Amino acid sequence: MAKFKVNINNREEVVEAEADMPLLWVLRDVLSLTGTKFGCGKALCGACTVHINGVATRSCVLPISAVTDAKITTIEGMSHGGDHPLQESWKKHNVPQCGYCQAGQLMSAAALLAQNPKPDDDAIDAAMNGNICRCGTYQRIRAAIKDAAGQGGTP
Amino acid sequence: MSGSPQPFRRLDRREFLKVGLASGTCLAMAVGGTPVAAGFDPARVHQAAAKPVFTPNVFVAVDGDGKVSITVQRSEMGQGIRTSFAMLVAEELNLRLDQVTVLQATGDAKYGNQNTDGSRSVRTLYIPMRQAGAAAREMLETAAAQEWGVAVAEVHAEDGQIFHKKSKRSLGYGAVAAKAAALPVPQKPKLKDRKDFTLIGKDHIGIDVDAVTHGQARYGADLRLPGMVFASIEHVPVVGAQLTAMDDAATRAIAGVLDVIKMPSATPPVLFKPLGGVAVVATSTFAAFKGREALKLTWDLGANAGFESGAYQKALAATAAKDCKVVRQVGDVAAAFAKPGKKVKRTYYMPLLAHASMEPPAAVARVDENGCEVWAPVQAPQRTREVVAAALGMDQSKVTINVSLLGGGFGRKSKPDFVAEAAIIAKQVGKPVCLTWKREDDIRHDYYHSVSWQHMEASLNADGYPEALLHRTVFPSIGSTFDPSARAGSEMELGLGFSNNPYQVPNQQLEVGQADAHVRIGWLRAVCNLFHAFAINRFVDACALEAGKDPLAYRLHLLGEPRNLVFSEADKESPYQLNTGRLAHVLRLAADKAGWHEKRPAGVGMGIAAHYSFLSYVAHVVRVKKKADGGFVVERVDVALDCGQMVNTDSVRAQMEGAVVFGLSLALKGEITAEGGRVLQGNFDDYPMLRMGETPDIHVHLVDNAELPTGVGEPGVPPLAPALASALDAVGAPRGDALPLKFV
Ligand code: FES
Ligand code: FES
Repeated sequence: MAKFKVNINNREEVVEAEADMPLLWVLRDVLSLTGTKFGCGKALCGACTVHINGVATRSCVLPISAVTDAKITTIEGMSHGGDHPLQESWKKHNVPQCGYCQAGQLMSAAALLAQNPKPDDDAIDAAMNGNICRCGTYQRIRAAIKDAAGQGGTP
Repeated sequence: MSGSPQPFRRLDRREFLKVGLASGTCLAMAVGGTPVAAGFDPARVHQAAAKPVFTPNVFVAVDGDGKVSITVQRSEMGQGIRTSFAMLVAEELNLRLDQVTVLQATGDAKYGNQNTDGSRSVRTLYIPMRQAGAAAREMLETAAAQEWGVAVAEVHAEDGQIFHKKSKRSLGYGAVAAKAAALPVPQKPKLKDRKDFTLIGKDHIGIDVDAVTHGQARYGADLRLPGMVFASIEHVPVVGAQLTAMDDAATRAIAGVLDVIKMPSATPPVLFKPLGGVAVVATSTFAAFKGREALKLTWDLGANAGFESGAYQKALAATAAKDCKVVRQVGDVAAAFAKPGKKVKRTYYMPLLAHASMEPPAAVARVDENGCEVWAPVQAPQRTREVVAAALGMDQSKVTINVSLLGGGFGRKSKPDFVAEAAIIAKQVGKPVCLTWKREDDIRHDYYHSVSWQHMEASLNADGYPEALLHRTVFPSIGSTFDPSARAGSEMELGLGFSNNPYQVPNQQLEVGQADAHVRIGWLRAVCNLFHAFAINRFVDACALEAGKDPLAYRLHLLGEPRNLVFSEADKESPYQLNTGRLAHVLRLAADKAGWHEKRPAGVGMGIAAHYSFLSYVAHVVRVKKKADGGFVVERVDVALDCGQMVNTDSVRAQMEGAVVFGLSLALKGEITAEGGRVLQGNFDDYPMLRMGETPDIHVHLVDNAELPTGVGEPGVPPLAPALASALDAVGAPRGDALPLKFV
């Protein structure tokens, strides 16, 4: 076990974990931040997506030792007032079904909009293709992203 | 505590729920069997009052402040049932959705049937849930009328207040709650007229959306308890395998590993028993996973080790090629086939499928001297209670099943084997346990959707329509999970699209063949309808092609005059007979909206299919385009649904959209195969799912009528695969009679 200083959702934390423990399990099992989900453990589904210095990253394959100097944002810290435009838009379009994939979807979408405020369909597909939704909410996700980007996605 | 005479020591919130670092709010997840709130807005989320003042039934509670809570007894897995049921009750209470708190029931017989399956929650409880609300409203109104000494007919409840217009007086629901509680509960409260609905039949945002989008919604592995440990199980590689040797030295040497526990192998019938294997308990899920990798296990693979998918498929085909057991005979098929006329013969194959809900099986359990309490994503909370109680040798009254949100269910979470595992481990280690299945466990050790082979033959009359039909269906039965001697599809399974084929043919013979299961077989969204709808729609297309007729016109002709069809004794009494006119209507609706009758550009093909399942009528039109590189792209899907009276129209629409994606995954990608008894697939690389870039434009067309409400969660899936295969036919793709359609 080793101690790691991490910055999560703008808070400095010291966590004790094995160096090879993926960030996902540090978040969930050490810090009880369970908003970030486990779906595959192999960077195949996107359920565990968080931001590392603003970049959408699969936390299930990212050892804690690799992120000690990074700024980590999880779904719990996605917005301060709970009112990120994507969260609003997700609600307006009633996107979630079971909801399990949605933290990952939102984190991927937020990173996309931060880099590309007006993404077209291809850019959205490219950014979101790593996030599986077994319930099949893709059409609403796409509309919600466009809406949040001010492109008037149809509900 | 409901149903449990021995309440647990009630933990302080701070004790059991470590609030997320960044979140200023926490989702209440109560301990002790009280229904729990799962809303998000902290101002709105409140526990049901410890002793609500007025509880006319188990679904409605009103406290002295007038706060109203509605308890939902069915499980939320994305179909929106928490919202729909809250709407039904709130409608009759004359409240808005934001005026009620929605609680989730524990598994308890007092709530009636809680099995969330068969697309029947709204169908069976549309009236009872409204009655629960209406009874409460009538009692509140009566209490207010008595308070004022006026006639009940002069008062009415609205928005949390009872009004007496004449005297311009009003009282809050809370103010009369105590008085209402003393009144007799009306057995047949008056329900609102459909034209007066303010909630039912309209679009509503899901009540849990905020919790979901803020990372506050709680699923099976999300509760944190003090002293909790984490577990994962290396399951038997083949159903029925026995562990013959174990070397766990390397596992125990891994930092964080606390214990290694042998779990006995399930013996037939496998039922909902834990499958067996070796559990690793650790200080984190990751350490438990690592511990599993270091185990050295030797297995006697047992009777199912000979299971090979290729050979198995051939055996199914061989069975279907010969006479099987006749389950229905109409007219004289042999005589009709002997007459001259075009003959059509086809076979159809669908492989085993895994559910692969995004949330793999997971559960939290705690066992102590008082009993057992679990938090789990289960579709059948009462069954879970029974199974957990049996696994622990404990009286059911000492077992509390709290139902978390389900990260998808699709039938998998009707089987509580994984919850029993968590409880067994928790008992063994004496600490609360959070059990997580890896994705590989989920895909390799599922209760699979059955593999199937269909054999169909028709003899066409001079007009090109079938004069005779022979249909054989062969698949291992779900019954095998409960009784290994069950080797043929049950009446229930055959009733899922096979024995209720709406395309009536004068001479028909339906046969069912035998097949052994070598894996656990279970329900998967739409169940046997998937392969029966595939075969029947494909075959109707094959006949239409042979006859040189348009597939839509051909179907409409076969459906004939609008009328109700009766397939069984039970159907005769049923208010839900298959109406050919309603099926024809959704076919026409989907076709019109999709532009079926318009000229199609070169390289564009359309396919159509319809299926009646879970008492609802669905038609799909799929439009595909041939790409320059020879591949195909699915451009658009039009879905028409008639499910009778709808509750939340937006979640009905969402279910249809999701069903298209689910249907495309199974049509294009889904295939579970085994070698040496072991399932070969394990994760989303070799058991892929449809992704956003592959998702077509989906247009949903809902039929608005006042017929009895029928199923929504499942019926949207079956027509997709045959409609897609038909569309591909139209652009010269290889004939898609075996799923998945790997050439796309
Ligand atoms: S859990 Fe990390 S990508 Fe699937
Ligand atoms: S909403 Fe269920 S997996 Fe995406």
